[in-house]
Amino acid sequence: MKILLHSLFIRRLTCISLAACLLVQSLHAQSGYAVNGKKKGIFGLFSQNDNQNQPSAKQTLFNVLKDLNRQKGVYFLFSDPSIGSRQVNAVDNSNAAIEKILEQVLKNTGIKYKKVSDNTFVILYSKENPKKAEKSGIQLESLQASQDAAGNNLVNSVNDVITGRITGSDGNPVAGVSISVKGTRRGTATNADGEFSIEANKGEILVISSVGYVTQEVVVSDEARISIRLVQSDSQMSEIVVTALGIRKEAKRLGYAVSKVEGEGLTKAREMNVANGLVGRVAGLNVSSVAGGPGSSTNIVIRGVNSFSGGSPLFVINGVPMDNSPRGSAGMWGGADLGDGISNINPDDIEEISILKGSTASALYGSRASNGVILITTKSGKDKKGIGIEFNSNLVMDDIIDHTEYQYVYGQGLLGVKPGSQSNAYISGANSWGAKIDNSNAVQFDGVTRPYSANKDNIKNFYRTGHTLTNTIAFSGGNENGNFRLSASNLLNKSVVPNSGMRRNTFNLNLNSKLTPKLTLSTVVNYIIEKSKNRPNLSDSPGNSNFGIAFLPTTVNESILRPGFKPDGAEINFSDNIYVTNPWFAANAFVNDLSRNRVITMAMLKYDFTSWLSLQGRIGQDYYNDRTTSVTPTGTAYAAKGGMTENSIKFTELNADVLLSAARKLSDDFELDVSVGGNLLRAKSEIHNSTGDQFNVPFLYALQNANNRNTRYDLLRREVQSVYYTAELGYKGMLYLNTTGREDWFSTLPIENNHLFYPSVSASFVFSEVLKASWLNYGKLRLAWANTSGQAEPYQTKLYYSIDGSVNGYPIGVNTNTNVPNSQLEPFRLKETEVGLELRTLGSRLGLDVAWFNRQVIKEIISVPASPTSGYQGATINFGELENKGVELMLTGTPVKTKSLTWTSSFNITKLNNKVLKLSEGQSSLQMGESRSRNAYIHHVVGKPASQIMAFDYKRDASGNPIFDANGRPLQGLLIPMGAGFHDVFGGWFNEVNYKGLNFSVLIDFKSGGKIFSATNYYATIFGLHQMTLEGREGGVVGNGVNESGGKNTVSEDAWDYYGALATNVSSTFVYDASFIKLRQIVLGYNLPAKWFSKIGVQGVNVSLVARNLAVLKKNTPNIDPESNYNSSVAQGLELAGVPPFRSYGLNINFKF
Amino acid sequence: MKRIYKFLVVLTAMALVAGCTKNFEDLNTDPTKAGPESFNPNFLLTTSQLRYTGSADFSYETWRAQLIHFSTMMQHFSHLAGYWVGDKYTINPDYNAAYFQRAYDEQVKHVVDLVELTRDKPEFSNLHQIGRITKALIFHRITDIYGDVPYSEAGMGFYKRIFKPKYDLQQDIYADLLKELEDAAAKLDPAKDKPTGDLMYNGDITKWKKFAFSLMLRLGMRLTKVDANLAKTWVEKAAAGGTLSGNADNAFIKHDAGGGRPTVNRISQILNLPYEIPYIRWSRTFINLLKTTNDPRLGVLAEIPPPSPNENTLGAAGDQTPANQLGMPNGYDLQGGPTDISTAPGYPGSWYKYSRPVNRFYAKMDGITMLLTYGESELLLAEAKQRGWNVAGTAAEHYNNGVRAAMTMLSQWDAAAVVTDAQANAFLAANPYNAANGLEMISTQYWVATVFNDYETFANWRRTGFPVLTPVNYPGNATGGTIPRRLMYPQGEASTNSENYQAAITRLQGGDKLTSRVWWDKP
Repeated sequence: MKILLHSLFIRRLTCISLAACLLVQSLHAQSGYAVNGKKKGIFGLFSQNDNQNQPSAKQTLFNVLKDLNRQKGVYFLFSDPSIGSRQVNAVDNSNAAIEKILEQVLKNTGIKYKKVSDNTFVILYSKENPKKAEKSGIQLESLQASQDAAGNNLVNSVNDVITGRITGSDGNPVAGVSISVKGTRRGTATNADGEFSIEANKGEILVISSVGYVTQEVVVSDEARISIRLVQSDSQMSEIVVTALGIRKEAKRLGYAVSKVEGEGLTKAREMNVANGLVGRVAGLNVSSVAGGPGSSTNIVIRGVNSFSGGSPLFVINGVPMDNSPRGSAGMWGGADLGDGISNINPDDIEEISILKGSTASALYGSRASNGVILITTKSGKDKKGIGIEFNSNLVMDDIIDHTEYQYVYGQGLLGVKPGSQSNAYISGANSWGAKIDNSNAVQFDGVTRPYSANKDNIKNFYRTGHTLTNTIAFSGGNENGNFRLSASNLLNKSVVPNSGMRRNTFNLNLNSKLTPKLTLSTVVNYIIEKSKNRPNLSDSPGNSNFGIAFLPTTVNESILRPGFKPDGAEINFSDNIYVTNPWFAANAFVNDLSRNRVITMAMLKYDFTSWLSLQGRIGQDYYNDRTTSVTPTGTAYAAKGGMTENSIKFTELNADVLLSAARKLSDDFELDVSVGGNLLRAKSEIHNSTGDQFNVPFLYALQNANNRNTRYDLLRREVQSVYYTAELGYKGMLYLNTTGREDWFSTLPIENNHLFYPSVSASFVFSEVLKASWLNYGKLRLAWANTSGQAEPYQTKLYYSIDGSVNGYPIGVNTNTNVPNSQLEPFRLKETEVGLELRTLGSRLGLDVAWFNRQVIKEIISVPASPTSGYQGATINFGELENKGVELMLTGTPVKTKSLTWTSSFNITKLNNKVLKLSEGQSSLQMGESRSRNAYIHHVVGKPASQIMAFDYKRDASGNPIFDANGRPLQGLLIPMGAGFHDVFGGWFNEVNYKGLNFSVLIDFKSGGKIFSATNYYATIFGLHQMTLEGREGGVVGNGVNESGGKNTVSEDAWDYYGALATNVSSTFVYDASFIKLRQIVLGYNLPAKWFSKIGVQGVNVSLVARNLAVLKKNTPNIDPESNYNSSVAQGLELAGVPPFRSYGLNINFKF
Repeated sequence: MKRIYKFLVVLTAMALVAGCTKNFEDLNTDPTKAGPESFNPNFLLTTSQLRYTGSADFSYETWRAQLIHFSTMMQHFSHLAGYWVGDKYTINPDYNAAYFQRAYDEQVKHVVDLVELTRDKPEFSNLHQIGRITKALIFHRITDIYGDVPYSEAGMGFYKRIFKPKYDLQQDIYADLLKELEDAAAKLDPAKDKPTGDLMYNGDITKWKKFAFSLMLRLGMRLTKVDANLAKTWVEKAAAGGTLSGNADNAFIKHDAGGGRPTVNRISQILNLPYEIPYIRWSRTFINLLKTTNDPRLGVLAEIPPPSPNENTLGAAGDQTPANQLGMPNGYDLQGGPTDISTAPGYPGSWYKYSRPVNRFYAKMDGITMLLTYGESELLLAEAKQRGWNVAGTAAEHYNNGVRAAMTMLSQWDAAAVVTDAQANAFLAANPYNAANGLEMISTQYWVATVFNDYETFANWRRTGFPVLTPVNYPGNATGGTIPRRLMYPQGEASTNSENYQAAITRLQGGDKLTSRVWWDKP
C-alpha cells in the first residue's frame, strides 16, 4: 500500500510538472510577444515589423538606420548587435550626404561609423564611453586595444575595420563562423553570406573558428578585406551527433557508440524500404530484408538478438517515436508482407540517421529501448538563405534473379511415367516424378497434347521487369528568425510480381521559428499516403503465386496457365492439389490491397532563460489508419464461392515530454550539463475486422454480398509515465562523465510491480589530449554501463471470454486467450557493459573505432509456447536469460588524397557471441517458429545462440550410421539444433572515389555464420524437381546406412518414395549455410559543372547511375537466395516460396535551384 | 493567433493532468471482452458440444481424422486421391496430428473452463455435472485414437499453470473417466438448475443421466480385451443405472447453416467440396454387406449420382435403387498404374458411377452429427448379455432393439430417409440373432450403426475385430498391408512438450506408429 501511494504520488507529481512546464511556456510566450513589438535588430539585417512611430527627438539607432536603408539603399553592419537599441539623435536633414547624416546622428553617442564601401557602413562603439555601454547590460566588445593606443588622438588612430568573407572547402559561404581578435574580447560572426567585419589593428591576430572546421589564425596586414577558405577538421573531433531525446552532442563527449548515417547515402541507389539502405553500412547493425517483393519489411537487429521475442529497435523521427510494427507478415500458413513502419519514410527527406547501439546510448528512452534506438532527423531549411528548390528524380528497374537449379531430365508425372490421360495429368499436375524428358508428346492437365520438353525459363517468364519512379521536390528557405522546408514526393512502383505494385505520396513540412530571441518553436509534419496493390502471398501455397510458379513441373509451360482463369472465371486448376494455386490466378484474381494514411507530427517549444538554462516542451503524435482488403476470388479451386476480409486499424501514439536543461562552465576546467524531464506516452490501437465468405453474386467483392459475415472490434490501450535525468561533467575537454536515470510506470503491468528505475553511467576519455603525440591525431576511450528494460503488451494479466457467433440461437462462448495470462508480471531487465576505443593517425587518414560489449537480458516478458494440450498456445511469463557479447570494428581510411582525386574506404565488421543462458525452470528449448513443411522449427535453445534451426536428423545407430526401414526409407531421428538463423559475423566494405565532379562508389557486404531451413528445397525434393532426386530415378535408391536389425541396408526403394521419406523424415537435409558475399551497390555520379546552368538559376545538377543488389558473389544455398526469410520476426531461418530477389539499376537526377 | 496558441497550450496541459489520473487497472482491462466472473458458463457448454463435432476451422480434423483416415480404414468410404491416406495406409504426419491438435485447442480448453467455472457453484450444479460428462466424452475419443495422452494436466494452462502436461496412461485415463461418469450421473438432479446452453438435450437432466450411463457402457465395454472383469463391473453398473431408452434419447448436434464454417455440419462441409464430390464413394465392403443381407438401409443411404449434364450435381436426387448400388473398392487411385481404378474388377467405366451417400440427406449444411445412440447402447447390452454378464433382458432382445433403432434413426438425418419398423422387423426375421456367432453379428451391426461416426466404428472394430475387413495392400503403404491401429502423435509435441512426448512414445510397443496399439487394444 505504501508503495502504491508512493508511486501514485510520483506519478501525479510527474503529471503536474509536465503541465506546469507547458503553462510556464505559455506565459513566456506571452511576454515574448510583448518584447517583440518594441525591440528588434538581431544581427546585421533589419526586420520589417518594427515600430516606426516613435515621436521622439531621440530614436533608437536601429530605427534611424532602417529609414536610411530604405531611403538611400545603404547597408549597415553592427560589430555588436546591441548597438541597435542605443538612443541616437534624430535625423535633421535627410537630404544630406549619408556620411553627414551619420555624423550628426551619432554625435555624442559613443558610437561611430566606418565606411567599408560606397553603400556599406560598419557601426561600432567609439572608445569614449564604454561605461555607458556596460550599464546598458549588453555584452560589450573590449576596447582594450584602442585604450592601449597611445596619445589622445584617439579618433585618428582608430582601429581598422577588417572585413572579409569566409567560405567552406567547396567555395560556398559559411554562416556563423566565429572571428575573434586574439588576446582581446573582440569578436563577431559571419552572416549568411559569410561576410564579417571586425575592428582589428595591423599585427593583431584573427582567430577563425567554426564547428567542423580547423581553427585558423590570420595576422592582420594592410589589407582591409580578407577572404578565408576553411578546412574541414577531423570529423571525429568535432562531429555533432544526435543522442537520446534528440540532444545534440559532440561525439567526443560520448562514452558509448553512436553511429551516424547521412541521408545522402540513402537517396541515390535507394531502396523502397529505406532501412534496407543501411545494410553493410554500420558496425553492429544487422539488416536483412524479407523476400516479399518491393516495399517489404526489414529485420533490423542492433548488436545481436537482444530479446527472446526479437522486436524492432525504437524508431524516433524528429523526437517522435514512430511505430514500426510489420503490417501483416507471412507465417507457416502463408500471408503477405505488407511492409513496416519505417518503409513509409521518403529517403529524400532524411538528413541523418543516428543509431544508438548500446543500452547506455538509449538508456534515456527507458523501457522502449531494449532493442536499440534509431533516430531519424528530417531535413530542415536551416543554413538556407532565401528560397531554395531541390528536385530529385529516381528511376530504377528491377529484374528478378532466378536462383533455381532444378533438374531438367525428368518431367511431369508420377511413378516414373509421363501422363497418359488428362486425369493422369491432373492427378500428377504438381509432380515431376514422370518419365525422362524426350520431347515426345504428352497429355497435359487441360487435355491438350504438347511436347514433353523442359521449360527452363518458367520463373523468369512469370515475373516481369518492375520499376520504381520516385520524384521529390523540396522548397526550403530561411533567415535569422526561422526557416522552413516543404517537400512532396511521389513514388510509383510496378512490382516484379505481375499485377502488383505500390504508390506512395509523402509530404514533409519542417518549420523552425524564433518567436522571440529566447523562444523557439519547431514543428514537423510528415504526411504519408500509401497504397499497395496485390501484395504477394508467401510461404504456404494457397493464393501464393510464388509457390505455384516455383514448383511447376518443367514440362508444363507457365503460359498455358495464363491468364489463370477460364472464361467463366474459375481457376485454371492444374493439379489435384487444389491448394497449390495457379500462379496466374493468384496474381490476377486474388486481391491483397493495403492503404495507409499516416501523419507524424511534432511541435516543440524551447525557451532559453539564459544562455545556459533552457526548458523545452514537446508534443508528438504518430497516427495512422490502415485499411486492408483481401479477397479469395470467386472460382478459386479450394473455395469456389470465395470470401473476403476487410481490416481497419487506427493507431495513435501520443508522447508529451518536457526537458529542463542547464549547461554551465563551473570553472576553467570543469563544465556541467544537466537535464531533467518527464514523458507521458499514450498509445491506442483500434481494430475493426470484418470477414465474409461465399459470395452470392459471383465476382462482386463486397462484404454485404457475402454470407457468414463476422465482425470484430479490438481496442488496445497503453500508457507509460516516465521521469528522467541526465548529467554530464566535463573536464578540460578531454574527460567526460555521464550518468542518466529513468523511472517508468507501465499501465500494462500489475499495479504491484508496475515501475522500475533504469540507471546508466558512462565515461569518455580523449587521451590524445593528454599524450599530445604527433602520430596520434585523435584517441578516445569509452566506458559505459547501463540497466534498461522492455515493455509489455496490454491485457496480458487476465483471462477473457467472448462470443464467437451462435448456433441455432445458442451463443458460442470462447476463451479468447491464446496465451495463459499472468497476474504476476514484472518489468524485465537488460544490463549492458561497453568498452570502446577510437584512434586516428597518419594525419587522420586512417581511423579505427572498435567496441566490445556484453549485454544480458534477464527475465524478459515473453510468450512461451505451451503444448496445445495445456489449452493454450503459449504462456506469458517473465523468464530466461540471454547474453549478447560482441565486437564491432570500423576502419576508415583515405588511401589517396590529391587535389582532384580522393579515395576513401571504410570497412566494418561485427562479431557476435549470442547465447541463451536460461529459459524457464527446467526448460531447455523454446519454440518461436515452424516451417510449413512441419518438420523444422526455430527454437531458442539453452547454451546456443538464439533462434536455432531445429530439424530432424537421420535415426542413427550407435556408430552414427543412418538407419533405414524395411522399405529402404530413412527413419526419423532426433530433433537437433542445426545453427542459428541469425548471422554472427557481418559487415561491409564501402569504397568511394571522387575525381573532380565524378563520384564512384561500391558497397560489398557479407554475412556469415547463420543457417537457413529451405522449405523451397524441401518441396523441390518432394515434387521431384531437386537435382538430388536424379540419383536412383531408374532402378531405385539404396540408402547408405544400416537396416533396423543392424545389417547393411540393401533395400532399394523407388526414388519418389525414398526422397519423399527423406524430405519428411530427415529435414536436416535442407538446412544450409546462409553465408554470403554480395555486391550490394554501385553508384557512378557526376556533378555537372554549375556554370552550365548558372544562367537559368540552377545551382547544381547531379546525375548518377545506380544499381543495387547486383550480384551474389558467394553463397551456399542451392535454388534460393540466402536472404529469403519470409518474415522479419525473431524466428529467422525459415524460407519458402517468397518473391525471388531482384537486382535494381537505374538513374538518379538531382537539381538544385 | 496569440490567444489560440495560449489556449491550446493550456488545454493540452489540462488534458495531461486529466490524462494522468486514469486508473492503470482500468486501462489494462480489455473493454471488448468479459472476465470469468461475469461470463455465463452455459455458453461454454455450447462450444464444447459443437466443437466435439469438429473444428470451427473448416472441419479440420473431421476431414483428416474421421473421413480421410477412419471412414476409409473402416471401409465405409473409399477414395481415389493420394491424400486420402487412410484408404491406402500411407502416412501424412499432419493428418495424423489433426485430431490431437484441434481437440485440445477447441474442445478440451472450453470443457475444462466449463468444469472449473461451475465448480462449487450451486446455481450451476447440473451444468457442472454435464460439464464433467462432456469432458469424459471428449477425452475418451482422444485417448482411443492415440493411446496415452495428456488428461489429468490437460487444459490446465491457466488453472494450474501447467504448460507441458504429462501423458497419462490410458489405463489411468479410463479409470478416471468411468469414475467421473459415475459420480456426475449420481449428482445430476432434475430439481436443480436447467442448463441453457445445451445443444444436445436442451437441459433435460433425465436424458443426461441416461446419456452418462450409456457413455459408461461404451467405455466399460472398451475394456473387454484388456481387463474383462473391470469391463463387466462398469457395464453392469451402467446397465443398472439406465441407458438410453429409445431413438428419442439419441445424442446428436443439429447444425446451423447460417453461421458459416463455425456452425455448419462438419461432414457435409467436406461432402460438398467440389473437388471431393467426385471421389467420396461408399466402400465396396459396406455396400456389399448391406446388399447381401438385404439391409433396408441401403435404399436410403446410397445413390448412384445423377447422370449428365453434371454427374455430381449436389442435392439432385440420384438412383437409390438398392440393386443398382455399387461400392468402390478401397486402395485404388487415378495414377494410371497397376492400382488405377480402371483396373479394378467390375469397374463401371467411370468412378462417378459408384455409389455415394445420398447427397440430399447426408450432405446438408444444417444436418446432424450423431454422437451416441440408443441403437449402439442396445447392441453393447446385447454383447454384455452374450458375455454372460448381469444385464436385464436377453441378448436377442437387445440385439433386435439395437438393429431396429439403428435402422429407423436415419430419419433423424432427414425426414425422407425412412426405414420403417416393418422393414426393420422383416430384416431381423430374415437375419435372426444367432448366439453362436453373436459377437460377430453384434459388432457387424455396430459397424453399420455407427456409420458417419467413424471414430466409434474404429474403436469398436479394434476391440472386437468384427466385421473381418480385408486390408488393402497399396504400394508403399506404411503398415505392411494391415489396417492401422491408431494415429500418430503430432511431431509438434516433440518441440513443445518434448520430455512427456518422448516418454509416451517409449511406452508404445513398436513406437509412434500406425500399427502400434493402444492399451485396451490388446493383441
